[in-house]
Amino acid sequence: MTFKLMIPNTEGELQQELMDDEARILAGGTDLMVQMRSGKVAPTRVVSIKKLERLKEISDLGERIRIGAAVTYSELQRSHILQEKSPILLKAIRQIGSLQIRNRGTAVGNIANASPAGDAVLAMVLSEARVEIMGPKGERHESIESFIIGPGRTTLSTGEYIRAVVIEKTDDWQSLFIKVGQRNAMCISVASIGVLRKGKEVRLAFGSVAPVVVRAHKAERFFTREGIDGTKLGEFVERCVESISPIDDVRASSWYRRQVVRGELMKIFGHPDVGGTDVT
Amino acid sequence: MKTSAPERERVVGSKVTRVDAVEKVTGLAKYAPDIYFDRMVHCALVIARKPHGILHKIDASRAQKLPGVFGIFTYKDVPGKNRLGEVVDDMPCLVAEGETVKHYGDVVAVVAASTQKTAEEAARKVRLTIEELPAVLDIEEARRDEIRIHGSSNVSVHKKIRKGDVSKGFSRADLIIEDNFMASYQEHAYIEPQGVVVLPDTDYGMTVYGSIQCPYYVQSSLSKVLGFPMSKVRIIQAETGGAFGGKEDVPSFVASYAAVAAYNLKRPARLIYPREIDIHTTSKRHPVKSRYKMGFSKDGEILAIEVDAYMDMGAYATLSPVVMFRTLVHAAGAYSVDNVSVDTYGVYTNKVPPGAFRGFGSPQVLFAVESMVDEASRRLGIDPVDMRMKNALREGSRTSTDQLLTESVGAVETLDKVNELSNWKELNERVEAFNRGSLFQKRGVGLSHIIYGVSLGAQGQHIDKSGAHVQINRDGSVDVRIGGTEMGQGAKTVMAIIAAEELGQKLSQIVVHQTDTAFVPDSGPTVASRTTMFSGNAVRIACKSLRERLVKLYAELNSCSEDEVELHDGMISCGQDKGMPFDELIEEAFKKNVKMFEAGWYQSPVLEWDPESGIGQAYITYSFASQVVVVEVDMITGNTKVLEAYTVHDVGKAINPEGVIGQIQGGFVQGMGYALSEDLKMLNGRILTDNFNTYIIPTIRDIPRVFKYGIVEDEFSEGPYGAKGIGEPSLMATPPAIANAISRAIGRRIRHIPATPEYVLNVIKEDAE
Repeated sequence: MTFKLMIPNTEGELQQELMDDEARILAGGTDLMVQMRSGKVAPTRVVSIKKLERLKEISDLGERIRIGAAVTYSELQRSHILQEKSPILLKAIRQIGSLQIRNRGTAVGNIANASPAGDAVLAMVLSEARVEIMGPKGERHESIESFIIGPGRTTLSTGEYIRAVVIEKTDDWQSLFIKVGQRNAMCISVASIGVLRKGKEVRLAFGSVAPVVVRAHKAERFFTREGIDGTKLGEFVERCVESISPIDDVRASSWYRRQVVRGELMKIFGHPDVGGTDVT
Repeated sequence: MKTSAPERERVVGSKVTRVDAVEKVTGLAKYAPDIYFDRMVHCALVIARKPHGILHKIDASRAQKLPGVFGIFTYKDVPGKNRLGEVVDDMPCLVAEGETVKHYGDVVAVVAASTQKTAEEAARKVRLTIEELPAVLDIEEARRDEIRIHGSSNVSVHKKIRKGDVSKGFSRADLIIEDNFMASYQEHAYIEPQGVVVLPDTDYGMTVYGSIQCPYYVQSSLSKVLGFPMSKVRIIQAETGGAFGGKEDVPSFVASYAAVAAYNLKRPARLIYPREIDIHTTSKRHPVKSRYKMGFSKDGEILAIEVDAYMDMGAYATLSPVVMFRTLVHAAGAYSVDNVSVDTYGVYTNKVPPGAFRGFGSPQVLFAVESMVDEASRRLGIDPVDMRMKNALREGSRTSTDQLLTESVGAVETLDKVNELSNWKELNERVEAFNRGSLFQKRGVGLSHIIYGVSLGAQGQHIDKSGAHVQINRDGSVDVRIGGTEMGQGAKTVMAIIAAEELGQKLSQIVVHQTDTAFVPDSGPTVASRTTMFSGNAVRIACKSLRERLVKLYAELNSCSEDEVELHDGMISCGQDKGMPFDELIEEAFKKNVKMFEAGWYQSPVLEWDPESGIGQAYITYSFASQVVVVEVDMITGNTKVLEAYTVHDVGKAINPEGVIGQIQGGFVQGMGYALSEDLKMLNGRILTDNFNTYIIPTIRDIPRVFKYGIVEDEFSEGPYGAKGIGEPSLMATPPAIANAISRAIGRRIRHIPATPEYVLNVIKEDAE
């Protein structure tokens, strides 16, 4: 396993480097290095984006926030805009890895890695994120939900890279992020649940229970249309569960994943007094 | 042992800085991967990667062609005996063509190359033709003996205890409980993986530097594999980054593989395991499946106990028979019971061979027996502390093997102290009050009370001895050489304290060297929480002789009585005189040709033991511990958090109290991982959880916020200053305490460890019993 490390000074140079099929971008490296060690990927060219200052920006776009590709989780945690305007993303970030991982890892890297267990991805799915992509044919934008197409798979093609992600401000929503893992830190989600609620409107997303992080659009519409009083609650929860398709893997069984998703939803929406004070 | 030290034992029991702390923190300490030699080759292993099958052909032709490959060595290249195994040598060093591979991690060949990467790449290119055979993958399947792995039966070892008459005990019982338990694997997860450097040396033999717990095991194993006399095999322990039993017999295997390369190439050979190879091929804690039946009187007295325990030995027996001895003796717990019947069996399967691991076969059954006692206390409505107190061992009690306990029985005191430390009654009320107000989180309080037989015991007494060599240099500095090893547990500090105490030299002037078989005779293994006692006694004995000579010399020089001479903190004095620095007295000793080196030797007192009945003196003495934990179980996810822990250990004497505390804390956390999250998952004999992203050990965030400990010092007359052992008992109390706490929290019995969230949720969701 040998590779060339390239450190472009401009985005123009970055684009040149990426014209090679075997090139991979290195931002924090918290996924890439692990995959290279295990032999899952073997790039001949590793392209660091550390010198690209413009990719380190967090900008306030009014209704939205733009996060550059090289912005780390720790930088997001320290950002006043994020603290005030995206509590859901901060709640998710707080549960990612460890301090060391958060000092290196980036939110855009989480999107590029396209893991169904991506905690930041889940928060960004709830924030209706749009991915800003640059490539040989110029700039394009795509919603995060259509950008991620499978485990580890995105619509990114050769020469393209993610320049930034733009998320909605969600400070006027109540938010909740629940991560079920195998220990209290340094763990990968076995199942995760994110909820945004504003009056009769709700947004729901689930991680680690389908090939990608999923939004429960049908259940969301049901919630707005029918509410969750009385017997409606059970129906609502079943609609949520319909949106997931968990598998058995080394971390947990599909049975377990379904159980916890159903159980947590019943707690969040059925017992506002003890469980779901954040959203109901 | 007679104590001749002055009444003030100033160094023993005081707070000192670890002697190796600075070097370890600053990175000066040399571990195996830090050791380099000219012309050194890098090795990688070719493993079978099939659970069971006939190895027809090893084809290394493609691998051989890679630039930088110096050699690929197979069974044909083993110069001596192609056998490994410390207790039972039923394991090949390198599996031969025509023989069977018996587990996924069986080693077939060793590749030597110019770099680690090339060696690993070449190892992947070696093609093995294996005709697969059906594999035996669990204890039940193995017991059916439809597929046999070695010889006539898979159930190859059986040990038993027959004390009193259990049927009589049961007939008198008001309550009889029967239950089944399963304790799964645990991986050692030492921070430093296995590693050695083997080199042809200046004595025309081989020297090994390595991450090693038991250098004398490596020496004898290598001498067989190489066909060298032991005098030509020298083992120098490199700094060792954790072991926990995982570096007891395994380094003998690691060194043998590297030695085959070093021997054939006549070059230094380095073999450092990647984590995945380490997890796939090396020992673990044995899975144990047990059936318990216990009879109780209505006031809580244990009248009879009957146990069958089956232990998964994996593909090779290695250390299992001796591990099983400890399982046998600890199966009935820490109680005085008249009627005991225990059967333990070792079973072959086509899986990784487990071996030694902190607690050595006892945590599995202590979890079970303490669950049984907890269940009895619940059903009888007796307070768990009172229940243990009623049955606890005391001076004059007899153990499950009918051994009479005559001294140093701190069991009751640990119960008293943990009761007080945890504020037991109030703690239980607090937890009940929480549960009344909580729907989705339930808390539980769990208690455990355990026994630990110190050192190797009756079945290991033939190797239960230790030597030491102590030399005072002309400048007053002191060299201490022991046969025990420092692997992070703090042995060097304890030895330095003992030498400083006895010689009166300053602690900073004492160097405890890395263990080297060239200087100290076979001192047995560094296992069984025996180093403080065995190496400690040997050092103390050697130092006492030196001390006598120094006292005599000073008395002569100063015309005073030997009885009045005191040595302390680098000064020697007599009565009211102004005294002399230690270094100056040594200068005088050298001028007068006084012998300034000495050997120490300590061996186990003889233990009477009948292997047929399992009756007799199983161990020289016992340590005891009692522990209380509070857990909170999330009823939706089954996840358990340990909120509070209170633990009290009877250690005889804390020679280095800071070290004892370190052991108590570390053992607790390792026991907590075993109890809750460390789930070794396999598929068709292959370990899936082969690194720490999937094999889940606790992090600092999992440690309970409230952690209080207590130390009981019920001195043991044979131990140095009364010390027994703490290395293993520190872990052993935790799994049952946590399991009992979860059981109390959810109102259902935990019968399996690790009690992962998924397992606990399964138990919660089971239909009411």
